[in-house]
Amino acid sequence: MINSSSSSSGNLHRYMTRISRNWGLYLLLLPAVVLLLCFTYKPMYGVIIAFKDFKPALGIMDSPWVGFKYFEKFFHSYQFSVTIKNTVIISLYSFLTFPLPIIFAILVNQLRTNRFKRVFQTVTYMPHFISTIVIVGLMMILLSPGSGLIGNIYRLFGAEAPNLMGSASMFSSLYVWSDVWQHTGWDSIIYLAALSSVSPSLYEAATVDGASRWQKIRFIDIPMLIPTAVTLLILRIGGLLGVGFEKAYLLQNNLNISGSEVISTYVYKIGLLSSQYSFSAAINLFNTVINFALLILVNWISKKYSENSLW
Amino acid sequence: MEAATKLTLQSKKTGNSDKLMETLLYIWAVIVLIIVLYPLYFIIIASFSDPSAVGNGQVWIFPKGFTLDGYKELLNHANIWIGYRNTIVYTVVGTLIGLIVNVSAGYALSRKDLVGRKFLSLFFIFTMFFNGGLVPTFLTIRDFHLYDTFLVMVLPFSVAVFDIIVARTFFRTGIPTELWEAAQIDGCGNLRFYAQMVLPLSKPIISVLALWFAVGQWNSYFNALIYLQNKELYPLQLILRDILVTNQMQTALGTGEAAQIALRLANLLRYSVIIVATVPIMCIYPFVQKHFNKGVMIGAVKE
Amino acid sequence: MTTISKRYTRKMLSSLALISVLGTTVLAGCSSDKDANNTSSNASGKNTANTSDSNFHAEGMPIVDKQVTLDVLTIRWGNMGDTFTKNTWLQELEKNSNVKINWQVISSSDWDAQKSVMLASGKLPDVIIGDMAFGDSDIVNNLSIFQPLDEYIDKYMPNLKAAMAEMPDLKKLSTFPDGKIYSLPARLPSRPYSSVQPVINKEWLDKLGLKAPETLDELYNVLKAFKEQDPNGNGKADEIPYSDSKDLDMNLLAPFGITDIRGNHMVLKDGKPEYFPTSEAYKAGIAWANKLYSEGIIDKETFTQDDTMLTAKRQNPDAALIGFSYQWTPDAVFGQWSKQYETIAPITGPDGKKYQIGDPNGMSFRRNEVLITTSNEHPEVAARWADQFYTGEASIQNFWGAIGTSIEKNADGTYTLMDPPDGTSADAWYWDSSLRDFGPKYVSPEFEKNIKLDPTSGDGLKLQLDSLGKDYVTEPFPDVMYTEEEYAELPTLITDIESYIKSTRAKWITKGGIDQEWDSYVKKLNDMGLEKLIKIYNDAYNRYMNIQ
Repeated sequence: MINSSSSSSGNLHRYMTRISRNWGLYLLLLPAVVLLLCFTYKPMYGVIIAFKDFKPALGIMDSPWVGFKYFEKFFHSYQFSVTIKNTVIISLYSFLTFPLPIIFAILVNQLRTNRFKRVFQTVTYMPHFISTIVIVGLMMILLSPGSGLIGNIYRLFGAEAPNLMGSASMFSSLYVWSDVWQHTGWDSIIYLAALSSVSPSLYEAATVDGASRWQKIRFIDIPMLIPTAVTLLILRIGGLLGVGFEKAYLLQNNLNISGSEVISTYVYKIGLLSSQYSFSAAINLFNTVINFALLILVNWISKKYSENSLW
Repeated sequence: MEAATKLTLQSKKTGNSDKLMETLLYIWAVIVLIIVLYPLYFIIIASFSDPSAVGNGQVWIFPKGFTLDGYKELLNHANIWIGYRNTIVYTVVGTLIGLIVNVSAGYALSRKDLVGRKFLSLFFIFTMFFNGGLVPTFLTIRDFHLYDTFLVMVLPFSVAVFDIIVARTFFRTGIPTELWEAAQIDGCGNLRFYAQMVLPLSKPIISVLALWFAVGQWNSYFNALIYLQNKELYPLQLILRDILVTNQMQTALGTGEAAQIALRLANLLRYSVIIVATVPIMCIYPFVQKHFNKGVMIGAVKE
Repeated sequence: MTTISKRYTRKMLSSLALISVLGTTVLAGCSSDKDANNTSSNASGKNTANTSDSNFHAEGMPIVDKQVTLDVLTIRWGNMGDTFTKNTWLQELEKNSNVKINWQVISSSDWDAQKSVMLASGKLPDVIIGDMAFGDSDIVNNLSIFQPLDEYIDKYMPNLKAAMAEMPDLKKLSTFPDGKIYSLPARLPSRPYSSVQPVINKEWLDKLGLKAPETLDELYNVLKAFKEQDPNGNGKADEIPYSDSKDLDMNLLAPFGITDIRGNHMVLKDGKPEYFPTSEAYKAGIAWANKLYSEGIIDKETFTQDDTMLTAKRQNPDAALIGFSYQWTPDAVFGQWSKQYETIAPITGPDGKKYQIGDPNGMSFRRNEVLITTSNEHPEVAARWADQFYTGEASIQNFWGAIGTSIEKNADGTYTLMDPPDGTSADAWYWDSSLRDFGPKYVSPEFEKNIKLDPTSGDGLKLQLDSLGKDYVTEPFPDVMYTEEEYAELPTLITDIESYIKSTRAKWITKGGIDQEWDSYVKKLNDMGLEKLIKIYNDAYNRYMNIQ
């Protein structure tokens, strides 16, 4: 009955015991695993579209094999460096705003629970629901140098407002800060949930010890948030090369195109004339491989220096 | 005596810095409120205004060219009510299924004594990056006879690995191993522990996940676009999309009156659609909110 | 030991059970996608045997003795729906021909995503109506799922055959690069020769005592006067002589000879194809536009505003704001101010000539209006059914609506349009009552003479306005087709090149500098593969011109 850890059969026995003892856990995992196997892993052979010359009429299996042809086409295309550059800039810029929802959650948590706090929370998460088309339409109206809010403000000081929508260098800022406006409230919800797990007795104990508000934040709130923050950070890095298509496409125009052409909009445009299944599949695969590699790297770093990692 | 004065002095210092913090905090909150509130307010008044006035920047504080046409037009569409009905059903069922599938998986993965944890985590995470693409997935759905059914909207794509990982983090920090050990000694199995101890203690994360699933279901249209043909099954967002016109339509239809009418309608409806499409789901948040506005885990484990 | 091993075995067994459940669930969904493609090849095997079916009649009505159902797909704009299926001509046809139609109507906004899935799933309809479903590239890249139609036209489609004999362009238009015909064309009735024409605010001209401009210089002076002299009389300098959204409409440069109706930057100069963005005419045109922009005649927000804001300016609630534009008809976009605007003759360019964008053969031709797929088991039935549309009377009923609903047939053999019901506009009514722009149609020029349209609105109005421009309509680059290999090259070439052209154009118009940067611009275009692109256009052009 006592574990004989020195022999390998003993180890195996230990593993089997643990597995059989935790059969309930495997049952909990079962629905998710089955669903993924059926609906995500089963169709995964479709990844090879990137290496074939896919014609829908022929089907995936019978379309001719072309290897890395489309990858090379992408690397050699004129737009390659521009799209990669813009995608990376926007992603990194956006990434820098990562702490904002955390700070937001900490501050909201400090508000005394009353009507104001509830109204504040509800109002700040509402922008998340507005569709991209409306957000961009709003931006265009507000930023119009002629009739927009910005135009009116500049005219108060006797100046002409610059046309921000036409500036390639301003594009990333417009993109990122409108995202911040729209999503910070919503993104902070998960951190608020983490903070709500702090038992009030901890705060009471801290008050007795004479801790200031700031100290409470520093020594109670922040450590509480770190596991979630690190997890989300790692996942965020895993989405680095994925600047969404819709917003960039709507904000683009011929004056800012050198700063606004990203990978996803480029893929969309080449698909307009003639469906480029294999080409876009190749570019997407290139994207995800890079993202996955980044994820593995960051996860390894995180495992080395902290308790938190994805696996 | 000295210690007491020291304490009071210290608490007075912290008291002052606290008061400063409090004031700054509320100033910050009010500024943020205005920055966020104004555009939202704008959308509301724009939904009641003449679209030409809105586009010309003439609408600031009050609606201009007050009109209810946007709403009338929208609510006259018979399909809207079918859409609402369907979306409500999809949201409720989809959220339930989502919770069952993902929260359990998140808990199981949080247990350090789960054999194969690393492999299973990778099994899940891999699917976040690699995907077969639209055509193979479509063929798979068809092979399982799920095409054009109610189930396709709530079951096949209900696994959200991102949510599983976030849930896992919560369980890891929130459910101490001592709790499980204590339960084991009492003869409690994994499933009973999960149902009777873990879930009641995890209201915050369950609420957040429920919120995420509900909102995701409410806003979804792409799966319906691809996998549904029967208009009776269409969700709200898909029906609304058909009414709103895209830019492509205008350039190609070019010039006929029909194009102009459709464009004007789209511009008119743009803002009222938001109100009609999102107000219902926004009302859920206050109910969810109360689950993470107070602390939990009080006295669960006797030291 | 025994208790442990008993529990152990029990757990092992249950895990095995679990695994087998898993396995079978996954396998349950495992049927190969080869099945999908087998159906289409099977069907094409069946087709060749069908022509001797005794159910089918090669001429006369009904087309079949025992009812045959055809699945027909059509794509319509936005929310237009399937009301057109109630068109009485369509219903009569169904009765007389004994061919029942199972319509599948999909909205254009949903179609893009569904298209690839439909092609790949092998579950195709029998017939596809309307050119919005599959474009040239979709067909060229997937030829095996579309039925070649040459034989069917010859044997079963006398109306179309006669039409093609009368107007050979129909055949040229529909011949694919491999020499066969895979889709059927259409010729729409009562279409003008001119496309968009110059439209100016007449009320402002009158207010300022100016006459309609005829040359570029006169246009410049008029627009400048619009800007400076407050013709809308509201005391504010809010007039915008010219505005656009996202890009400058190239029609503004029509006086320089730039009439690009295909939107692919190819024009015909002295009968030869030319790529205009590298031409001297373009350079002069852009320089002129820059001059206008810098003086505030062209809206400073042209390149950054979207359609919504442009429309808002055109329909500004307080006063008319726009002075000049290129439009199909003057009432197209100006909302309540429509009556202030008037179409004028084309502006004379610097070379003393007038150029009008359009087609000297009429803006009437379309292709890819009918496709018959290889999964159709009765292609000859579909062919005969489609042929019924290719008469004059059938075509007008599928363009405006049935006789008795939208059209009145008069005793003298002419046709006039009836008024739409209250509350709908004419155009919206026609879209509701018929396939309108889509589907097979043929109206011969002779037949067109019998169509009497109201000259004060809609299509009739356009024909009136057309007389101003039709003498100057330039021969456009033909609507060519590209081969599969060319379609592999075109998307990247075009995306790169056009993106660069558009961004330089925006820069030069807003900031100037075209003279200094011209040479490096042309060089960069060549680096991007411009020569290859032009060669493709030329090859396609030669192929088109050589079709018998």
